[in-house]
Amino acid sequence: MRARPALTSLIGACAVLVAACGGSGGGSEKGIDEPIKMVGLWEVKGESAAAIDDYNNGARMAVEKINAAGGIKGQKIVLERVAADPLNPQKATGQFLQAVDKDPVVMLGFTASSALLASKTQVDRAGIPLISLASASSPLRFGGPGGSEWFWVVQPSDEFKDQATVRFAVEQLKATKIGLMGTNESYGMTNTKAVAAALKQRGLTPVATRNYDPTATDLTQDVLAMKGSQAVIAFTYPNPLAVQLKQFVQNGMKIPTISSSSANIAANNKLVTGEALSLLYGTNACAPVGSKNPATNAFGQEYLRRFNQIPTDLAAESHDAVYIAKAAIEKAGSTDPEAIRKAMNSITVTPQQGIICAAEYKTDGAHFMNHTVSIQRFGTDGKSTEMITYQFPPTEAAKG
Amino acid sequence: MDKFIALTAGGIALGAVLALVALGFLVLYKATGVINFAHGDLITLGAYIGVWTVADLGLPTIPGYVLTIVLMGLIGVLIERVAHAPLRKRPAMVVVIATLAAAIVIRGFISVWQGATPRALDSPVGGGVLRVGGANIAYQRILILIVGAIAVIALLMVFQRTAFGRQVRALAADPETAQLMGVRTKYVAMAAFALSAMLAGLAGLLVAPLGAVELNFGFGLMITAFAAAVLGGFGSLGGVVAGAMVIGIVQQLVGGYVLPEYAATYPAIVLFIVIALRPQGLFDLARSRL
Amino acid sequence: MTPREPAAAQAATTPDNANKTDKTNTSETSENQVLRDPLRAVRPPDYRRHHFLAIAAFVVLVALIAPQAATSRSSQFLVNLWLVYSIAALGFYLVFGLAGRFAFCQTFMMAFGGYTSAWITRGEDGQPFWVGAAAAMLVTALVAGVVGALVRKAQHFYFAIATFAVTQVGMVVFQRADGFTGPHGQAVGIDPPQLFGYEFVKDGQVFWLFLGTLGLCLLLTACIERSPMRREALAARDNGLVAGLSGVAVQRVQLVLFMLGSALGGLAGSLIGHWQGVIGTESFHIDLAIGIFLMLLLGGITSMWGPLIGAAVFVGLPRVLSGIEEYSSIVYGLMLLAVVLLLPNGIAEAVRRFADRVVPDRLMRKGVPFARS
Repeated sequence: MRARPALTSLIGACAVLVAACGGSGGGSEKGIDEPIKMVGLWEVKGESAAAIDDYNNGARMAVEKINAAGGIKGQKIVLERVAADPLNPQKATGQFLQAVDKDPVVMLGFTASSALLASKTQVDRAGIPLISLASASSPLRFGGPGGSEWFWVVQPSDEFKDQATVRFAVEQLKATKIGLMGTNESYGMTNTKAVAAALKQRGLTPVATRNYDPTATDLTQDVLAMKGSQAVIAFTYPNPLAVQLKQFVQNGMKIPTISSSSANIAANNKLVTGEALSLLYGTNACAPVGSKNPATNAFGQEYLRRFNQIPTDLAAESHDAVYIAKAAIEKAGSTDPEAIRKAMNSITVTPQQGIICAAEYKTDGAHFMNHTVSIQRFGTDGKSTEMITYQFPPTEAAKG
Repeated sequence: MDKFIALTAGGIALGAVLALVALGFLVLYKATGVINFAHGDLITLGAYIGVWTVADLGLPTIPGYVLTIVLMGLIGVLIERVAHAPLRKRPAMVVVIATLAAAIVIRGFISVWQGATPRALDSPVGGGVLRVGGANIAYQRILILIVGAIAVIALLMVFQRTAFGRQVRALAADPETAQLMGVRTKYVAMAAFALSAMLAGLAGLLVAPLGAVELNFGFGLMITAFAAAVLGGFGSLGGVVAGAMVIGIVQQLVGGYVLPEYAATYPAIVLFIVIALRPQGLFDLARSRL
Repeated sequence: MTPREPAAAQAATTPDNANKTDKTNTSETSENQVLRDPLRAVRPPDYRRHHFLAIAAFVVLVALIAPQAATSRSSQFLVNLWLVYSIAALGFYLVFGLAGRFAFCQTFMMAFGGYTSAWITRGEDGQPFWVGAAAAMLVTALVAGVVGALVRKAQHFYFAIATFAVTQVGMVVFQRADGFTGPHGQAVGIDPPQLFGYEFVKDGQVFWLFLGTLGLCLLLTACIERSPMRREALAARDNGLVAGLSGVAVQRVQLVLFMLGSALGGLAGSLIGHWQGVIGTESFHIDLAIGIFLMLLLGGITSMWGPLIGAAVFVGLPRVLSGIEEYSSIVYGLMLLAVVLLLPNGIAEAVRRFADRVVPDRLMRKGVPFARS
């Protein structure tokens, strides 16, 4: 059957109509006259193999605080949620469209960059501002094929995290012999390569680079390959990280390991304890519990009290995303998506405006908003203390 | 040299676990002809139940482990009643689908019960190491070796010496005649499912302390164990154990010295080559219920 | 058993679209004819099943109903996803339903097709979309040919394991082969599909491309269903030894169907790539592989419409269950169990049996037994 031109153009017209209707957001140019609907694209515990409650809890805490103080320009925020599967990009795109059908003013979330990347064409078409909580990988940079003028990224970019890790290892731990370990899929491979390049820039070559299967229960050969290093940088998931750390201790190698949010999860869930834990460092956007910043610490304590769980930086960033949305809507003065988009590109959100996980949020050329990275150290009691924070310059837009 | 010893020890320990998993698989297959897709998730479930009894309920190790194994046995019987008994007259493929459905349900249940955060199971022998020829071998791996060996020998004894074992072998050789001779297929099937689930639970309990327990924990083990079972000959227990050892050692040693990034693909490559070269099946064709 | 295919109306299982399929069997024979002319009564299996009419009816119905019924963004997306998964599942039907080979590598073929198409169409001097799609089909057919030839003697479950092994290794290789796939196995910035200068960008436009392609794939399958290859495949599937002795080239038929089925998978992967603009190894992971298998199982292994029904259920079910995400896995597994227990040959078969009881007996061919396939 061939496409019938008349029907096709009719369909095209309908699609355009739907797009137009979907993008308005229910506000007027003059002001905000109804509650502000935000939709979070995340799961809660139990909905998939990777689901954690942090995003939902962090955002809810922010919404409650804002609503208690009167809302945004007098209107309360209504936060809804659509579960977006981080492991299945096609399904996530469908779920994104469900969220779009709810007609929100602002969308928060996607917890995995692969889901965001897969949905990018739909994000473009929907024309609703999206504040992403996924990790900021370089394909997402604005200006490149994966970037979009309709989303902004709250997490510090992976490049920043890698550079912060290298700086910490070299400057603070005074290590010249550094080993790299990671999983053998995209997260691990991307970052081990990036760190190897960063080391090369400083004239250092890694002692060894090992990528292993995330389901491995025996990492002996990889661990032994790290012999002689003064620090190990690991890009991995909580389980293999636990295996790795235990085997380091078992083989008598007392080498500090710097990992990312996997370190928090491993520590918070007591996957690693005792001596292995005291050698662990984590690179994150911020450390909600144990931060030098009193506001961040307060958030962490409040979260711990309410939900009986130590929050990761993801909860704090989810909290901040709501405040960023608030600042943008206030600057725009309305819920018109185009006005909000312009506002997002021009505002600088400061701690006075309620954020807790970065020194400030300001959109750079790549639509990345967070330029702060912090390194924490874990103690044998499982609590972390913040060692140092690094600030980074803005990232430029990708070319082509 | 110490690297070689460490890797070999690791390989043997891995082989022991794979043997345990593969035997659980094989026991069920020989007794009922069912390929159990849910075996990997049963391993995960066993590990989680172990965490629950020891960490959440606070039971001491031995009672906790025993309780876990008993619970796993009961779950095995439940699966038999739901996913096998009603489908006895159907082609084998349908039963395989039913086990796949059971796997999905188990996964969903674990997901709701425990969520996504990984859990830890402390090693019952502590985190210490034994020094052998310059290499450090964790106590837990030695425990795996010992328990694995005991389990394998016990299984072999059961199959050779007991009435149950004889009945299973009879069923494996010729189901119709066995039934005519008075072998009660219903009870043998229930016992086989229970035994298979208990072995899966034991494997989960042994491997969990090495790292942490999360949702995909058992699936990877099951796939590798399947490779071991195919390699060693899907019919005989001894062959399966040998296959498991080969896979375990190959993965560790070859993975340690040659192209380590691709170590995870070695079982898959070995599997493919074996099937390409010996496609008539490594087991008795007449026994094939597929 | 009889080859009668009376009219079967099938209700949609998703809330967003309805599709109907028609099958009519108009060849009738009366007892008189049997007595008068025995030779004419003993005909070869009836090929008057009106495949082409059914396909045409299907395409027209979907073309009319779907744009009306699916107005929201998410439902348009789901319709497109249904169409493209149907293509992949149809390929799997050729391999598993007809040839009887349980191939676990359909997602690998989809990924390979997607990456090939992305690679060929990349850049300023990249080839047009149709070249990319054609290349995807060709490459996957070749790979399937090689793999199929290597493990041609493997039976049933061993074949499944061997193809699963191929998938495992393939995914790791895709991760590493940056030059071919993209950084860390992710191909980004894939151009939207273009035909004769017309670009299919919006979901509403892509719908027509997918519907057309599915129609063509259904035509191809219908041609196979109407050819002697179908009989040979079924004979080879049911009893390879006897079939071989009767002169059927068992391995060749199975290999050809494996290659064709994989080519359809590659085509589906290429379409997904151009539609979404980005593919990575996560786009085609094992849950989708199991999903394609379940699509065929739920929809019906015995009918070429089975994959479409199964794909509709697979795509629509999460939407139906979206209120209870937490328990969705458990519900999904229980549903699967229920279908397996109650509808052994899938929904298509159940509908066919139901329709058999409804349609009058005079359509039955009497006294001439044929193997039911």
